[in-house]
Amino acid sequence: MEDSDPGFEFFEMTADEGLRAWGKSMGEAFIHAARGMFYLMVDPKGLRPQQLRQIQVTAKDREALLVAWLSELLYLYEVEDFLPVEYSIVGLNEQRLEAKVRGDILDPSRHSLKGLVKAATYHRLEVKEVDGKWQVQVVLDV
Amino acid sequence: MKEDRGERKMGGKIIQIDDYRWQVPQDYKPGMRVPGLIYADKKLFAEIENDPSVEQVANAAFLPGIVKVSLAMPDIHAGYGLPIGGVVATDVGEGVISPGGVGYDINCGVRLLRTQLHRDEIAPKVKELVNALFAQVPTGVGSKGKIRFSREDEKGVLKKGARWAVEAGYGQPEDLLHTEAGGCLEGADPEVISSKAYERGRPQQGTLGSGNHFLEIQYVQEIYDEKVASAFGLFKDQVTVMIHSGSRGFGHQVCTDYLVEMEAAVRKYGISLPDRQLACAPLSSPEGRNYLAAMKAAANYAWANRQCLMYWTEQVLLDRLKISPRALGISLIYDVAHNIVKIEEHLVNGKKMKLTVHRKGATRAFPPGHPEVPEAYREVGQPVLIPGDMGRASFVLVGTERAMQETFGSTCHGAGRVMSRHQAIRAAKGRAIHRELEDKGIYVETAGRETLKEEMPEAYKDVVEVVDVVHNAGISRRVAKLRPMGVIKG
Repeated sequence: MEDSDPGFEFFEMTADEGLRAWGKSMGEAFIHAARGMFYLMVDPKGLRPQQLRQIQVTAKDREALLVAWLSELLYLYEVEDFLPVEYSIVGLNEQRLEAKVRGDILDPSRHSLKGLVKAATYHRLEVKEVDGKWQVQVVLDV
Repeated sequence: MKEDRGERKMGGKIIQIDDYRWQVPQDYKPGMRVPGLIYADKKLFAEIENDPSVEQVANAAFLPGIVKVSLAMPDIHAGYGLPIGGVVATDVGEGVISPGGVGYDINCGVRLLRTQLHRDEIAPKVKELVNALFAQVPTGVGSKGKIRFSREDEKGVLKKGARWAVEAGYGQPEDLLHTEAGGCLEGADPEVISSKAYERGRPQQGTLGSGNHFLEIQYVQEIYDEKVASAFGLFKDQVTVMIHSGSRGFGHQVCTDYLVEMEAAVRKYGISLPDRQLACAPLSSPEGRNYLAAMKAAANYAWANRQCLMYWTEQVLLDRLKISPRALGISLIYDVAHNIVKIEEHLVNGKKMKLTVHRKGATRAFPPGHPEVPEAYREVGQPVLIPGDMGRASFVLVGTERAMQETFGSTCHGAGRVMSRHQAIRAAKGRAIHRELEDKGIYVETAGRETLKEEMPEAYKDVVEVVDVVHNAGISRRVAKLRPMGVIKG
């Protein structure tokens, strides 16, 4: 990944946050989507990859899989204060994702908190491959 | 930041019926089972004409079993599935129930407390009170609650709602009489709730939340209807407290979990929908019944929460003001939900029907005489609480017979957003919103760094306009205007 390309961007919605992410593979796009979501919640500076979490989610199709992936990360943040830093996809198909995620535990003395994402919604959800590049879109309830 | 043009106006014409009513005809979009109706004035309508809200009103009309009309209140703004400000009712026998028709923050709602105090007594102490409230009431992202729960307590909260809180010593039994649904929806089932929801909910019980949630010390600036105000116990320059809060991570997880269930249900029951976020199931199906039971649990969680928040507010005020409870005279005027689904009976074309009424950013507004209106108010109608935004006003309204006839007894819930959070932050750049509010005599304490900018007054429609529309349309009537003195926000 080039330094200048964060792999995600936001688009305007009145009461929610629209997120688009892309990558060379579906997995990379999913990782960039997770980075984008956490970018809304905490400043990435000061996050250290100290703890490991193994994540496994399943869904009926790849769009729902994206929501399941993001929802699982939100749940880990809210319940375990876990903030992801490095992602490694172990297994991925349209209905199942397995990943190893290294991250930090929220520490207000080191971390700069921004807002809160309450949920990843199904609204205008997209996971598609265009000219060999993968693009995803999801609306986040903030 | 890119502006998204993916959801613009569809074909078809909206018909203006009168100054406050706009019809979305059934042929606006093929698949609509009923027409849509938007309450707005010319200015508010112009603001939403070209955004996704109108299409969302049309999309909601696809829901199987929908009765009469797909409604939107004047604080309408684009959500997902239903617009925010949306009201849809489906027949309980054949119709569906839809988590997207309620929203993630199940039973986000408002309660209003009255006191015996005059604003002049409080004005010199507002800063101190706000600081004390901020210290005592868990507020903001990641805040953890003060209440220690056993597993039994948890189930008690979900089954009994505000009643649990009163039994545990947080407030008085009379409070329940002045809460919508008595602060408890019967039939909540803790067994249909995921462990994730429990894990999110446990540490957040008794917390205020973030974003547009707040706890506000106010005064009554104006009385519009003396008779109703008197019945509600309101007088001019009286100090009031408003609490706006919901079901926190618990409700969000319940909604998330059931959207997954409903996605499968939509295929199973062969339901065709224009927006995945409208996913639903027949109320009579196991999926439908389970969601209703889970939603009730989340609603009860939020009512228990608001009951606790009210109790702590009272304790802080008593402690800081050093007056007796009698002198403070704090009591609950009313508590309303504005993201919820209720089973209600309504007359449709002269026929009594039992309906699943979804209110997503809309408030119940029952008329005089309705048995669900507390006895103390039955002669005048149900109190409707409309939180504005910081820096502007909140309102107390009363429900009307016309609302029963036209909107399944519903009205607006507040001031809808007009600016996205990014737009608001950009517009607020270089401005000290804190200072601007202080200049207006409003002292604010917030936990979030960007909250004040995201939530600044200009990011919202003018609540006065929204209230004007519902008042002039006759679906609720103005009773009093409340102005903020001090606010705590997440």
